[in-house]
Amino acid sequence: MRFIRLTLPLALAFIFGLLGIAIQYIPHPLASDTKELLSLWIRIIGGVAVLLGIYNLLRLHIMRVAEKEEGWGYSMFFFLGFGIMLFALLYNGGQGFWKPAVHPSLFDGLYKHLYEPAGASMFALLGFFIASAAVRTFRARSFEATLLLGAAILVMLGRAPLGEMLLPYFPVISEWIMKVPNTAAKRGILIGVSLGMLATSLRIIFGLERSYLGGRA
Amino acid sequence: MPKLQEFDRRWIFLLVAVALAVTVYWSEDIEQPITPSPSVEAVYRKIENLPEGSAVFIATDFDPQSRAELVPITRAVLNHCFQQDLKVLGMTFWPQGGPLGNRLFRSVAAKYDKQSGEDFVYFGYKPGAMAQVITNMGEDLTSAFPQDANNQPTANMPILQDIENLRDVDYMLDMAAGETAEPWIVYGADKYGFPMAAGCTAVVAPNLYVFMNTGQLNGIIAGLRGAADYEVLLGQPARGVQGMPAQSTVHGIIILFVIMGNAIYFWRRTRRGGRRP
Repeated sequence: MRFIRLTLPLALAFIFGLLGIAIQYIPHPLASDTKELLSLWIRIIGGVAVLLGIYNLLRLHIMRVAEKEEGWGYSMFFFLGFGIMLFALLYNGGQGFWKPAVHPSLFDGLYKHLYEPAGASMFALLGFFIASAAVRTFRARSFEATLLLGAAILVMLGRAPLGEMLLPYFPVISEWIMKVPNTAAKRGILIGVSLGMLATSLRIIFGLERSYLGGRA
Repeated sequence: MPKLQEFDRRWIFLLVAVALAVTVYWSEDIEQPITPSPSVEAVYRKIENLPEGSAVFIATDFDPQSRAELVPITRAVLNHCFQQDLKVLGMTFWPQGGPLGNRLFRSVAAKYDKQSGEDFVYFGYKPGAMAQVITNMGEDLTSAFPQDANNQPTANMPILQDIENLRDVDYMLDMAAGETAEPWIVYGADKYGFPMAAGCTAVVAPNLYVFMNTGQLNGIIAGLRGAADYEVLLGQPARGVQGMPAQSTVHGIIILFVIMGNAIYFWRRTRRGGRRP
């Protein structure tokens, strides 16, 4: 069991990790073919991962309903939505799921007239919560907070025609904030994250980072 | 004066809703100045200067939650591409974005009498890690997408006879509601050598200015304001321009609320002798 749980995954990570790097630098048709083959495998693994995700989501909501956790009623809505969309997808305009997708279909109708407006409405609610947060929590408590608040106001004025009506320079100031101080900060973060990713990748390839194998490894 | 934390926020919601409803109702009567930003103008100029028949690749990496911002941007860019008689290719890494992108491509193409498979193709959603899928597209588009989003085989499509892989793409735009533009830059634009720009939600834009500064993105169309800028440049005001009065109202309200909240905070602080309330 130790071989299956530990040695084999570590060996696979090592071999395919090094192979993935090496084929980027080898200008040979064999390397190019391997690259294409690996990308196909990863797409298949991606598809299986989606199935695993669906299984986990279903399991989570079944547990919530079974144990009558707080808000378990919302899980019932999840099953309702999941069931209806799955049925519409499998029904496929009366052709069955084994045939190519039919357009327009019940699934298209549900997506366009139910899922799209519901999704857009959920996102639109953010505007109301930001307005509420503006009154209750955005405070100039320190120098840094004041700086952030000032920059936010200038960018907001620059991004709406209202700012341009008040002062034609607001869009220019807003663009400068995005291009100079924002870029400087983001670049620092990006370099840090990239170095972290590089280090983590090497740790995984050489078997030093094993958290992806689960707790027992 | 009661603490702001105890203030019933439903009054705030009601105020925002009423202000928005009034603005939207009279939005056609409100004229506001919209000067396109240089980052949007750069994208417009690039498409304007592409020779007829050039290949433009548009990734519709968004979902219905972000459609208010990204559909107007994508629609404006598609209008421009079809007006210029460019070949347009599209796909998405977001599963929820497939039907939205497919509908958008077909509806705009129909306005210009463009045919799927000849003048444009929308491949749809492709699962898998972005790096590998982009690499696959970089080698061979028909192998990455044996069928398009409408189940048509891609192998014999006239549009793909001259555009075999990402090396044949002349310009690429990622319409990003999340972190998809970065992998497109790293594994697509940098590797296969096509110029690239991004359309994105306003909240994603700060992450992308870094790449404009380095020249990896030649422009950014950010948020509904970006869509409005593009529509102004195109001379076709649509949902972006129509949304600007509402955007001005909400931004104005939020700024007023921030000022009001801070004024009360400092007033209370002064009364307590400098201690934080």
